[in-house]
Amino acid sequence: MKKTILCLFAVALTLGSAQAEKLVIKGSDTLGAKMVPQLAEAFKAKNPGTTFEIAAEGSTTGIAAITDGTADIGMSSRRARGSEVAIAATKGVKMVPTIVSFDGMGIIVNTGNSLTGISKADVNKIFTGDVTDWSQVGGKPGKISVYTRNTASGTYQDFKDLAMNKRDYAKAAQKMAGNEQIAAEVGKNPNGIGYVGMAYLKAPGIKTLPVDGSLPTKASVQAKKYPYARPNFFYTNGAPTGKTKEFIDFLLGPSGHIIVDQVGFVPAK
Amino acid sequence: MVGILQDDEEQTNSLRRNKMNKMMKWSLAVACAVISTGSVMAQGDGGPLIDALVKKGVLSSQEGEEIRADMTADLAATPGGMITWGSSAVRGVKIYGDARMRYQWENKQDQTASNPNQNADRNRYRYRIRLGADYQFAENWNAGVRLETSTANDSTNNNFGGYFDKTGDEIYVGLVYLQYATSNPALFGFEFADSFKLTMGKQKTPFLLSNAFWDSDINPEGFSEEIGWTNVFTDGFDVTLRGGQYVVSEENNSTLNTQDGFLFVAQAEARYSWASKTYAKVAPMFISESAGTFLGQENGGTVAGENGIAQLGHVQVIAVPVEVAFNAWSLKHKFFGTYGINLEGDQLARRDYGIPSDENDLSTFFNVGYQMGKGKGKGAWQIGAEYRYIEAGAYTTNLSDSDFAKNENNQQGVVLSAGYSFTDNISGGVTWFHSSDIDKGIDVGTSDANTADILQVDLSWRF
Repeated sequence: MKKTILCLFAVALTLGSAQAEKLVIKGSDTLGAKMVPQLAEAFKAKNPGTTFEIAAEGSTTGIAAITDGTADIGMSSRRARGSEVAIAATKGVKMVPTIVSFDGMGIIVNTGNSLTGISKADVNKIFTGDVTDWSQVGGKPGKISVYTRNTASGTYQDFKDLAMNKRDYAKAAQKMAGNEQIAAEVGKNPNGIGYVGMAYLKAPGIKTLPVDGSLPTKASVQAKKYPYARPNFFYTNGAPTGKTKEFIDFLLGPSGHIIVDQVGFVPAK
Repeated sequence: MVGILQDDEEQTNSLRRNKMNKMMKWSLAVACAVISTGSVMAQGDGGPLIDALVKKGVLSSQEGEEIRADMTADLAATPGGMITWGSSAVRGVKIYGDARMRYQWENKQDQTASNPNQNADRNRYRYRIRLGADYQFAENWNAGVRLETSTANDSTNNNFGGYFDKTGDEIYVGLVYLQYATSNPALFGFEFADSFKLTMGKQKTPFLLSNAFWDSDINPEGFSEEIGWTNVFTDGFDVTLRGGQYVVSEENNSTLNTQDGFLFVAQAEARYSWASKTYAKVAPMFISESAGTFLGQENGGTVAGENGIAQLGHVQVIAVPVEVAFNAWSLKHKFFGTYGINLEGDQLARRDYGIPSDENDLSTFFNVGYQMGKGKGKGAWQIGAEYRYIEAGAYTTNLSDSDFAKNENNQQGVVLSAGYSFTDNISGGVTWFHSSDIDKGIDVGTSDANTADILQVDLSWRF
């Protein structure tokens, strides 16, 4: 009888803890502003006992959170650096990446800008500060205002790697906290230029410039033809297990793909 | 029954094929990555190779990512790649170093009473090593440490000799600093500038001042601040203010009548850039040495300089450095110069050097120079020419270039230089310094020179 009561108590405890399971997700603003919250809502609808804590303050914070053990999933729009993997290893943490979506960093300008396209070489020159006036790249004269993400952002680093030959940003470049802020500033500034993920290309007042004739679309990103396309990651400590795995499986499944597509990202195959 | 068996067999074969395909993919990727060990070490994750395999469809994106992650982790675990940072607060570390071998020929004609017109030649075989690390922390903090050869404050050279002994081959601390640097600094929510930097410790000089008047080996100790505004008034016009408060002499205050000595520097730089790599800068500055018991007493005092000559202390200097740089005819050009005056020049020259009161015009110094070069990395070259003029009481020899005129005042002359990069990290250079007295009737020290010539031939490599 005592054993039966003990077993029932243990089962009740297990069920209770399972019902109250919380997933802590930290990291990329690109992923955490729209895509992951909507996926979390859909997942919660199917798994009522699950709660989410989501903090989107940049990819660097997501990777650090896995190292520090303060998150179950680290969202990152860039790969973990060798130094970050080494730091994690010293704490017994194994960084395991899962590609959850693809994205293309679109080059945006104000709708009043006369340019209808831009070359990779000119993108490099503008963001590094080699050219500072629109007339130097075929536009109407005007001092170029460059908007970038801040240094905690994975997009900030990825753009340097993919578009700027790893050179430093122009000294006068203005650092913004997120994609929405960049889109808003470029939308207000006739001489503005910036880069945002595909989910933010429909913001008011902006237009996307084809880069060497290629726009960031689902097809061009999947075909790896758009020059500034990149994968987005969930990092976990070791292979995902339990509720974390369930959530990632949901994201990579048909229901998750629909949401990923709806919010402007390209689903991972 | 037979049909079912055949289906099972096909399924088993299919599974086996898939498994073999997967194994082949991984083997291929790993083998290729191992072959390209050099690039793997450089990239840390074999990136370009894996990207190519993914693009060709040999690997899926996820498979490529898993291989890349495994290789990065393996590399981190190897003795060369395994670096344990002090804490996870360290976001990045840059380790750097350089070494240089130098042949130096010196000729000096003294004018002192004890050795009038003595002609002294010297051949020197020298080397230097500098090993440094820059640490990037979170929240705008960074730090640096650099170890280097030589005890002198204005040199990093050691001499070969002593039948291969190691005397003098010790390594000392050349830099140790903590820095806070941020863009758009704000107080109470009000952004008051575009950039701000505070540096504490033994640090590189933040000031725009020619090597002639601030030897590039001298790393001041104390605090410095830099605050900048970009695109002021008009596009391309930047303003930067700098301040430095440095300890130059720390004394035991239990000894009667001793005082610590300090060096204070303030500078305002205006920079206008009208095209890429094209700019003009003007940066007026004030340099003040405070009272200090042993200040200016290198010879027999507490300052360890390369040349050990008599120093001029307590200077109050106003200087105006100027630089103009531009690209033309596929070459980089730079004109530079400084004009300055020591407000206490005449008085200090008489006090510290015993110069008679009928000698005047002892307070002015200036330089003008031109550099031209092409390229970066392998095949890059540069030539330069400069004229320098330093009157007897014009400047503190604690800061001026230790190579020119053997660090003495009352000297004028030229510096000619040429350099060439044999590879991206190995370069050679030749520099000739020639100087002569401005006023032959003035004696500024026990080893005062009529003329001094120094030829330096360098071979340097960075790592």
